[in-house]
Amino acid sequence: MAERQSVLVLISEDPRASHRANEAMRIALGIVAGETPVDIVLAGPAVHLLDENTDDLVDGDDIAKFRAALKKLAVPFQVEEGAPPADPSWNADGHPVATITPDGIARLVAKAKRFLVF
Amino acid sequence: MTLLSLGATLGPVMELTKRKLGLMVSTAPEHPNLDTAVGLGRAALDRGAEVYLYLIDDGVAGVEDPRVQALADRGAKLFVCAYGCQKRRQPLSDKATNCGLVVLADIVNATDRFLALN
Repeated sequence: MAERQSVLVLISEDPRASHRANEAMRIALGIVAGETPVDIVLAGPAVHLLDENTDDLVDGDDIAKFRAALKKLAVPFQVEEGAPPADPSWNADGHPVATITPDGIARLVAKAKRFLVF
Repeated sequence: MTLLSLGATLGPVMELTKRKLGLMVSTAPEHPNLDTAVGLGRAALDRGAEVYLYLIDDGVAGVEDPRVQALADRGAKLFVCAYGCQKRRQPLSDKATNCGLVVLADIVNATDRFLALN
């Protein structure tokens, strides 16, 4: 087995319009479960993965389940600066998040050895 | 990436004998990503590398695609996401290893190069 490489999961799909944002999050969860370090970045509309009301999201039930699992594992989301909505109910579950700038994303890209871009 | 599928090459100086190439495809078979993955896999096999192809999300529909099976016939290890098949009510195929994300995590970690085509 080769040395475990850090994996960057960059999600920019809109979970209100596509199931692929959820699928990317599910894959990230699977990789984390394999004890591989993962950085998850939510860019643009992908920040809606943290909407309180998942009824308006494609595969909303799954989104609630997978993000809860990631929260339990203390895996933070790095959210693109300026992308979160003003709605105060956003991230009502209190998932650990950090704001990341485009330069910060570039630094993660430079650090990572594996990439999953949705 | 589409161009690569036409005459896929991994570069004239890349010695791949006994090296491992991991490929993940999450798009439907009609998307050019599958041609790209198959082209890269074929080129890697030509050079003596081991190839691991993981089909996930909409990519599971390609498990019995002749292009994929031709790659498997040449020695590529073929895996398909059982969860993705279940979600799509697609019967499990005996032409691939039906598995979960732990296997994907293993492929991410154990291969020298890993490409995700999303």
